[in-house]
Amino acid sequence: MTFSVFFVGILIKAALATTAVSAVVLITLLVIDFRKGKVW
Amino acid sequence: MLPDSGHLSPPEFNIPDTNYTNSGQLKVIWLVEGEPSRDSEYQFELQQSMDSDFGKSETLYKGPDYATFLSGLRNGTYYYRVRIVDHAGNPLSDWSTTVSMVVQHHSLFLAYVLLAVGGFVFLLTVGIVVHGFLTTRDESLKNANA
Amino acid sequence: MLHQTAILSPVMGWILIAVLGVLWIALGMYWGRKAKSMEGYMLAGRSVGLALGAATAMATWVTSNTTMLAPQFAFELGIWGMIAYSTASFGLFLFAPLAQRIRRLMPYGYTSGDFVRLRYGKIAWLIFLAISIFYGFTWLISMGMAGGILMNALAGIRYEVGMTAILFVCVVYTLFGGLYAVIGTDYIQSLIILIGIVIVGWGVLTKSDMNAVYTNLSESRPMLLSVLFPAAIMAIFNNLLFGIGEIFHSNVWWSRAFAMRKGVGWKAYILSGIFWFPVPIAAGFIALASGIFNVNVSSPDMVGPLVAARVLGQMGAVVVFVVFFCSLASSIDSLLAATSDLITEDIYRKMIHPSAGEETLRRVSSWIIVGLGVLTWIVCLPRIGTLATVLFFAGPMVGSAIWPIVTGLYWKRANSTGAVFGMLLGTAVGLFAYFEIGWFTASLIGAATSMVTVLVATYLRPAKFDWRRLDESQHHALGAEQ
Repeated sequence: MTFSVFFVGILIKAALATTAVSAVVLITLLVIDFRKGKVW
Repeated sequence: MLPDSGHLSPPEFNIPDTNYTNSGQLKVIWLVEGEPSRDSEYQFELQQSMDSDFGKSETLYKGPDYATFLSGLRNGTYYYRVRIVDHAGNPLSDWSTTVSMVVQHHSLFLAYVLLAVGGFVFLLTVGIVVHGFLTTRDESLKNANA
Repeated sequence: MLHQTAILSPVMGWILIAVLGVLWIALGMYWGRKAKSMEGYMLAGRSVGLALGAATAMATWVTSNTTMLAPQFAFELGIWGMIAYSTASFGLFLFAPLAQRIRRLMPYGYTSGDFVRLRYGKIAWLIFLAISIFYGFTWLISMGMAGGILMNALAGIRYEVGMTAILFVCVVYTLFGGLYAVIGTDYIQSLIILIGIVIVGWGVLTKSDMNAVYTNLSESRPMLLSVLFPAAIMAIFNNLLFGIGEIFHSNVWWSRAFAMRKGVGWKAYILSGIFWFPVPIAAGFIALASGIFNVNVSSPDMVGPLVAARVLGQMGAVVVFVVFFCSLASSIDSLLAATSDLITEDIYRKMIHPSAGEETLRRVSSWIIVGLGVLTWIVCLPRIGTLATVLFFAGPMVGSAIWPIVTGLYWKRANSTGAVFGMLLGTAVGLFAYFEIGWFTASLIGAATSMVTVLVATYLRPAKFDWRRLDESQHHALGAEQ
């Protein structure tokens, strides 16, 4: 029984996409914190 | 520098003669006599086979490195030999002595037992945290109301 | 030697070290000016917001172990290996409610040692400190060594020199900036790590055909694609429990729980878990592509950088170098700060000099950071490769701390007998399993043994703990000083 090529492909693409989204979310959060004056 | 005869002594493997792995991975290392030099004009050819006489073999690696890391091998006995070749692929040495390796993966039974024990400990830990979170959340509400 | 060609020139390596080093030190000094009190220095004023909180938890958890070991895991244990590595993010998820509870029970706490001492008393505290300091120090050593080895492999910089450079930079900015510097730099380091991984991962993905990767693997490394790969199946929960044990006990995570603004902790930890989860898969994937690019891997821990450099050239090598530098720095700084806090608070203040004022504590804490840095440097210097594997002995130790910590935070009935014997038996049986069965069982067996011990002790001798005793600010008022 092996992982299918489809599964492996989706797994990796999803991981890369999520990582990219994480970076965007992290920047957005800082902007929000900054506006609220709650960075530190 | 290459000797003019073009015939070098074969590399030697630097791994125990009978190798055994239960995770399907092995680092194959070889050495040559004398000082290995980076700018040498020769490279290595490493072959793997399932027969000790290399009736059917495949070349795993051809290049200047002195090692390669194998992983993901299935159960079985594997044989390895290495020789020195020039850049055109012509042999400059005889084949080394053959080494063998036995791949025998852990039993799936052991794997499932550990999977079950691990899953059980993990789920109980999650349970305690979630239960604790829910009950203490109420506590603090009561305290806040009191 | 098993030579492997360096993928960057030493000059380029030095330029990168200099730029990043100066940047971190300058930022550390700048942010350090905010730290006017001891609480500021150790806990960043207990007012860290969501963005910085989530980023610092994520960046600290992305160590060289993630960026280096995730490709190695994928290379050795295949698809399951990548997934197993990703499960380490459950430690962050599960710590989220704990962080909230910790902040509420101990609004003025400093360290995880404080908690164990107040909750379980002196014997449990001493065992816990031994485990914690052993773990923190071996982790620090493994990072220092990884730094030297990476600089050497990536840019041909001598091991001793590269190791010294990265330790020096981290000690200096942690020393000047305290937790402010650690958390501030962690934010930038998180972004660099995330973006770097996307660049490298995406670059490799677009240059390789998924079908070709798959076919290559099924021919040359078939077990990596197998769902029934025993060693990989065993690794899943062991890795998961090792991760949970590390996070639950270590002061690195507790000090962040104390440092975050009220109500931020649990959100920050959940987010950091989500941010971290895909990283081992994204970073691990490039190892699986090594075959189709004919990259010879002579040492599995170098598979990630080698493939990145082969596929993306100098640009890829620079990105990899920067990502590694950031992931090492973000963990070394946290470990220096949190271990120094633990020694300052739990050993110096509680055992040696209880009446020490802020000035003294700050000075002691600085010396401890320098001392830790120097000690790490001395141990790293001879480059004893096997020493890094000592970190894996910490697996059963930290695994055995999970249940004492969790039940101590939530159950009034949890008692010190359970905690003491849970940690001792869990460590002993776990280490036995390490040598008798294999490393992949040690954390799991340690955690399971400790769990059973804690449950039995709680059932036999239930305690009736008064949660208020955890809040040391109330001690004098309640007259409950032990």
